[in-house]
Amino acid sequence: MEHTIIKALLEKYWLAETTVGEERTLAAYFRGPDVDPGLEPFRDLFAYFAEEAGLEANGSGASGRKTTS
Amino acid sequence: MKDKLFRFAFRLLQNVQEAEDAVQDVMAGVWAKRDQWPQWQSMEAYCMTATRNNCLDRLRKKRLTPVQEEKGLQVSSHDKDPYEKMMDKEIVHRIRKCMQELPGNQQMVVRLREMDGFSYIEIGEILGMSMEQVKINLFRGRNAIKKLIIKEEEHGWNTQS
Repeated sequence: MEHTIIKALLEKYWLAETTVGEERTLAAYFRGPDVDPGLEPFRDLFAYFAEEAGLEANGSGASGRKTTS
Repeated sequence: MKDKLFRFAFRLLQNVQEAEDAVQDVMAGVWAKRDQWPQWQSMEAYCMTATRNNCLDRLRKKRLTPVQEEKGLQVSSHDKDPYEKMMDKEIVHRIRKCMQELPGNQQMVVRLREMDGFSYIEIGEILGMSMEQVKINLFRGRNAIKKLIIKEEEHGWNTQS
């Protein structure tokens, strides 16, 4: 059931029709342990975005302008 | 305001040095036009627009410079975990490269949405686009990456023995 909802959300996502909240739902799903095998390839995409978002939030620019690696 | 411009430039460029250079360019440009200041309705709006354009130019130039292809580690291990781990890294590397090669507007919209979680309206305000243009750029950017992932997945399945 959950996978069906996620697949529908993902279709909306590719059409750029999802809300920020729906995109959070997708991100949380792909962080979880129970990703549908058919959707597995997209796990890396959400992991990549999360990683980049984390880098931006913690990292070198926005707040501290640190140049540490 | 300089900090605000820097944060904005960094968000778009994802690079401290480049963001600082962009802000430097903008500040120099603003100073050079000081005789026009009284005619400007908003110094901040002018600076934000100038920063956006400067960043867009930088992204455009970057896109025209071929990205060095980094070869993935050649591993002949039969151990599935390290192999999968390596593939994961490879695909993430390719997604990053694909992002860097997106046209500037698409790249900025995808970044502002996926990494900063801005609404369509906010992205439109930041980039000076209509909501429709934001969605079109997001649609194109996301689908370029989707196409890459699907292609890589097919390739991955075909080459796995």
